[in-house]
Amino acid sequence: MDDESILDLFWQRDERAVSETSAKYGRLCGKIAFGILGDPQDSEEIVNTAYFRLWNAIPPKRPDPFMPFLARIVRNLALNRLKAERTQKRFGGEFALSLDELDECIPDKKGAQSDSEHIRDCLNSFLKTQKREPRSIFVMRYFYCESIEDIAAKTGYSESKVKSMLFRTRNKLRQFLESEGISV
Amino acid sequence: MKHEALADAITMLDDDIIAEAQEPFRRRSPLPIFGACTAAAACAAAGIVFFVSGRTGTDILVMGADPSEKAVTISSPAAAAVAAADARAYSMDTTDISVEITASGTTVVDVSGGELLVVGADSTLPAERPLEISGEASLIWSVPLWDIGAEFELTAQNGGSSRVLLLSFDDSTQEWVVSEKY
Repeated sequence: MDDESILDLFWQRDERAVSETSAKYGRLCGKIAFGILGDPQDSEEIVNTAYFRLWNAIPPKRPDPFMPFLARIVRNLALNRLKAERTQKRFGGEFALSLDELDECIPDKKGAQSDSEHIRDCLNSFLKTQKREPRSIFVMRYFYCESIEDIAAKTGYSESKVKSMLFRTRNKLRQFLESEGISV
Repeated sequence: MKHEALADAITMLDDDIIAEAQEPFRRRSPLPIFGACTAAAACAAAGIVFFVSGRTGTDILVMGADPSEKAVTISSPAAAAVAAADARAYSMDTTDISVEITASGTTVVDVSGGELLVVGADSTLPAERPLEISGEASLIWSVPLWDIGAEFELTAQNGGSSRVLLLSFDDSTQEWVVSEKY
């Protein structure tokens, strides 16, 4: 079922909207949540909560495109869960690994800290200057929390090539953020 | 904290950048040459037989059927999940599809998504792409089938002509199928 039809079901308050969303995007949502939380049960709970949030948000919203809207809800819920628990033993999995990699991108500086919106704007600007392949691989890794192995399987690049592309992109990002005066 | 600021910023990336990363793209790579692999090894390894009669000098076996005549059904975790319509069901596995190719002359094979593996007598190894085949080759096409909106292509180029097999989700049967793309 295409996204427009799914959105129609939400607007008609037809409960098939949830099952159709699950059928089409359940795996993707599960991968995002699992990548952040590293726990299947927590991930399942987050995904189901995301469907509930969708149900409450649509209508009045009619997100276009639909998938990023849903993915963002899942990611936010999972991050909030992580922040709430915030114990070292639960802070694991692909998400922790991917954040460790990204940590080096933002320089430490004295003075005013940059907020998430400013960093987001800089990230968007930076990514739009990159070629399609490294940009998408960056997003697979740091938005969808996919493992290097999964990205390699999906794109056809070797794992070492994926690591190399991510390394180069992170270095460019660090230089870009420094030039924009970003500090955290 | 760096972690939180970065994580929040990434969550708010533009929709088009987020969506784009879920669309298949073809990697660009140099042309390596691989020797022929035995067909029997692929059948034994994957248990799937795939046959497409070649009109361009390339024969492809797919699950014992010819996709140019009738779409070949691929069983996958995605299909099971869809059939169950279970909101909690999801899988992170890839699905392995055995592809056996007999080339008359040289055929260049590539896929738009997933990974190609070459099945040898003793081992199965990732293939560089595009893959150049002379004679017979047994391959496994390993594809992530968790997004039923996705489509993948396997292209076999022989001389000036080419064949394209399309792997897509059939809404009517709720199964992934491989069919000849004309």
